[in-house]
Amino acid sequence: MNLKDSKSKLVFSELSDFKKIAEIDIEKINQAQDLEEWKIKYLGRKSFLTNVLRDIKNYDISERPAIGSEANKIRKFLGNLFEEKQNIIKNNQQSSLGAFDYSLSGRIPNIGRLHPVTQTIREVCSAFSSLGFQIQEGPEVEWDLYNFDLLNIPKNHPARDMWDTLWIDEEEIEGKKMLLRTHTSPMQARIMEKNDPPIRVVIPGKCYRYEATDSTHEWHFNQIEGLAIDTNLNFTDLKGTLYDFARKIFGSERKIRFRCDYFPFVEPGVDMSIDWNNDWIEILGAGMVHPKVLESVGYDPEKYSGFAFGVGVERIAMIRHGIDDIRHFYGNDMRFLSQF
Amino acid sequence: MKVPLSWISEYIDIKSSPEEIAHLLTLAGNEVSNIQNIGEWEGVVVSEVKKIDPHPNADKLNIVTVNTGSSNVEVVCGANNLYLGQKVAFAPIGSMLFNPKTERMENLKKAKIRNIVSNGMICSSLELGIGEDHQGIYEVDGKEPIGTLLKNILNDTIFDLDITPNRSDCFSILGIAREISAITGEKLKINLNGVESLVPNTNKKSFTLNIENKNICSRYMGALIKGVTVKNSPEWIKEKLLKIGEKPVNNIVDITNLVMFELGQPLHAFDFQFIEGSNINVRKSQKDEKILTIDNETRKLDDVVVISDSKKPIAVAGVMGGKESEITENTKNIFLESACFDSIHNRQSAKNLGMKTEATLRFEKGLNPKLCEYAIKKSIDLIIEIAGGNLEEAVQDLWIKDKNKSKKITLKKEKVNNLLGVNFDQETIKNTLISLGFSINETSNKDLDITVPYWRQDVSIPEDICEELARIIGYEKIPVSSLSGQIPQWEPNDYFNIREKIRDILVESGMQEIISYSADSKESQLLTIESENSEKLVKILNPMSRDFEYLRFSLRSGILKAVSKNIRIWREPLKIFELGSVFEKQNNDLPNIKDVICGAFVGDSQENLWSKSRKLDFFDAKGTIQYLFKKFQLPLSLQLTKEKNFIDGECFNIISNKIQLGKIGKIDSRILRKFDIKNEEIVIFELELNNFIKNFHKITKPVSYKSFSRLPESTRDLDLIIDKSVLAEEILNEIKPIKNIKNVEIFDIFQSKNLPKNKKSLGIRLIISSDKNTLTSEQIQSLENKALKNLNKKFGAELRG
Repeated sequence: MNLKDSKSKLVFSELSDFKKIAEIDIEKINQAQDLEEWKIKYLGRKSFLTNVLRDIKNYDISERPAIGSEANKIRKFLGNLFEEKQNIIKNNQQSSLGAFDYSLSGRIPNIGRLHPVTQTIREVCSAFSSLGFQIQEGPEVEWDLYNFDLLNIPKNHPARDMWDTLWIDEEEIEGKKMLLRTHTSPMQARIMEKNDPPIRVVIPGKCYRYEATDSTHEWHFNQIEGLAIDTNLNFTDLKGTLYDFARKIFGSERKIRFRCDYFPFVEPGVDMSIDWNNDWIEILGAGMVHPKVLESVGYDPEKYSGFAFGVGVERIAMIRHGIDDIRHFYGNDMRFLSQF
Repeated sequence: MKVPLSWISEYIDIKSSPEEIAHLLTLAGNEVSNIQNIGEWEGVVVSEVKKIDPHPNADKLNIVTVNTGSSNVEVVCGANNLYLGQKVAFAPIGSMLFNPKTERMENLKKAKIRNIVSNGMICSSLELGIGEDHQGIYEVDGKEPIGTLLKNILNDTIFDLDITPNRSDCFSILGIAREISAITGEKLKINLNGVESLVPNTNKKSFTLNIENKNICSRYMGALIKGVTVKNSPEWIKEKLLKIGEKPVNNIVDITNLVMFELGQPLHAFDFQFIEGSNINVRKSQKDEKILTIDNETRKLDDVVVISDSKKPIAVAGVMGGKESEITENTKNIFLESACFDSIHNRQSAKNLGMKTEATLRFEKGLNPKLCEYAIKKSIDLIIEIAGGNLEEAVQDLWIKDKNKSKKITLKKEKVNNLLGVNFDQETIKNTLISLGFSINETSNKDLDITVPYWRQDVSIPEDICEELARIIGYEKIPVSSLSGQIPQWEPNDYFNIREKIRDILVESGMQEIISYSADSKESQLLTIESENSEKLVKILNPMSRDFEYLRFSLRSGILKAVSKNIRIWREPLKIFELGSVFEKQNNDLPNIKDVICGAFVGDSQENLWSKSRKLDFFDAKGTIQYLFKKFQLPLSLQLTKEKNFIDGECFNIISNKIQLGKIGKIDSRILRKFDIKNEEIVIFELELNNFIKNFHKITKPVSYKSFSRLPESTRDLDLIIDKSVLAEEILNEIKPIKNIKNVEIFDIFQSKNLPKNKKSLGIRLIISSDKNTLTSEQIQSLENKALKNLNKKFGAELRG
């Protein structure tokens, strides 16, 4: 290169610096808008480069071609840089955001579920377990002796109508008839026959009633029986235990109604209901164990007292999950079961 | 039971709102399940029928002119009980009225019926919301002046009460009034009168009473009323009956019904001319006796208590009267019965005849003989007032049991606190009991000697007295306490715990739990069980339907029904199981009840829509069983077996430690078709839980830790050619015992045309390592050689070329 004066030297070195700075600047850019600003700064009408080319006549005529050629080379170089960067930004936008569709469903682990009735039985039992109640079970096919007679419901007692019974097609044996238990209460007598007080048990299990089905009644359902016997249990213990249970299962905001009701095997008798759809729904029957029941299993009612209760499992599940039809429980429809 | 507040108000002043009363009754044990308001109509007025002309375009319609007090209006009406001068409930255009079709209150619009404009409507009791009858129009009492707004004379609130079976006294207006009196403190306005005032001064006796056995009837009262006129009841009686849902019949029958609903004592009136001879007997039915009852059914009287005259039964005692001696408009002399029939015999009679009536509803709960006299007194008074006639001879009274006997209970002073856990003061206790009709004597040591009122058949022990106190004072007033005392030290319930753990393991492995009905149809059960078990099914005497006639012997049918249902509605693969009881008939004892697990696998296994799918198969089921057994640290082996319900060669016994625990296999498509399952393969497994838990009751013990080598493992793959019949399991068993071969896996298995016909190619991988030192490649090679040599010797296996 044949450069004669400082002015020309200067413009070459300035152009070289200009090019380096432009290169460094563009390296940092990854947004389209920043790239546009870069373009204005380095290739725009007011840029140094444009000024050099516009003012080329200020230089010595012999130097003009060299300066012009150098400036144009840089302009072309920067133009290429610009286009390259523009493509990169465009591609980035497509690959890092557009092409990765995070909204597709993930690979759900293959999970199974317990039936909502099993889940509810477990929750109710565990609420009572924490109070020292043991889990026991008993036969779904029973003698009328246990289902009725020992519970102070003798033959021809009108209270038998409270439990429409499904009978087993078998001959009477020693005056006893076979039936599908209408409640879990027969286990009260079975447990007391075999054990001495103190007693605290819960007994989950299926029960059956000859009853027309509708959205709140099933002939095939589950109950959880509870029984506590000791030397000085009274009505406040019954109430405290059941309120504690209701708080654990439904939370403390739920309204509870505790009212007098009649079951021949308790005295006094209780119906406990929960507010549901602006009405009350009965979730359990309870009461202090009737002295005749204690006597029938050989306990001394002067010495021992206790309470019993029977919780409706499906009712609890319906309230907790907002299920509107009890017949869903044994329909085995995956559209229902898969929700729990 | 329906209870109009207007009727109750005859016995007690009601000062709280109906809602409040209903709430209090419910809390105290008589649940009010519904409150119905009558008289919410607007604009309905008492009007008089002035003219009845036939409709020119319809046979069954009339054009009726009514006087509303302000004008005469023409309406079209189809009722069959219209007459001139009749007082009716007339709804002019624009009235608000109950529409039985929409079950809402609606504005009455002008209507054109067969081309004649009707300017309103003459209402039936259905349209007024006070009864079921819509054939005839509702008749207003003739005393009511024309133009009176109906709502001013006919508004009412009706409670629907669910009476518990112990409270025979509450099946009456009076009983509910007594309850309200106790819970509100308001005194009853009416005292009941006995029959003494009715005895005329004569010794005449046209009939003789006889009770065969004091156990079937404790008291029988009979009255002969001569010269009655049987006709329609006056409006006030009809209105009362309509409001509680009873259809008026005639004045005599209506009065006996009215008294029954009011006092709780069922009564019966006979037409005296059809009673043969002069004897009225209460007795057990005799062989081959029959009666035609009022409902026109001929009934065979077998082990039933009857009322008979000198020749034949004339009524089923306390259940229903006979047709022959029924009260008709020709009846002149009536024999009126008010008796106390034994509750157990009454229930048995009704049950034997398959009948349930308003009378049995009350008798079967147990009534007190005292009630008979109040009821007969009230009925006689009403009959003479309304139907005329005379009591020409004394009311006869045969009272042979429990005469003037009242129950006494001693309430020890500590009893209330012991049972209820709360110390009510003595005054509160006494006042509460007195408000319920009990009378009390306080002994010197503060115990209470309590006399139970005759109507409370249900109260007989101190605990009953405590309930009375608790329910009237209010259950909400009793505090709560936490259980104290000793927690019973019982052994943990292993069976329950293991069973629930099994449920959890199956759920962990991706299965959905289902619960089927425990009863099934015979056909479904027989389809899925082995034929020798068909005798062991337990039959239900009165099943809900044929579909639920037998208790299940197997869970298979329930599982297959669930599969059949869900393959139509559920697109995801089905991996379902049920853990539940099955029932096996036993001689002279309750059925043998066992817990069984049954699982089924069917459909396409697929992680999600874009991944590749495959059919669930035998190895999905087996893998689940393997996982279950592994969790319990139990060995598992399968043994080929045969059963008609499975495909031949694909049914296996599940065995652990030589004990057979269940089956696994592919269900025969012939069975599947019966469950309406086509083009699907279903693998099921079945485990007997009792057997599983009985034999492995120690399986709840914690997993025992085994030390593991920290030295590296090497793997060697062998491609073998081997006889087709050699099982993978046999190969593994042959190599596993070699020391330092830690594990053997099969990674490839195929048959091809390039191999001899009876051979297959098998890729097996040896995992080799020593606990002591790192093995050299020579040592590893020698282990590989040893494995190969053993397989060659035992099965003739060779390396693939």
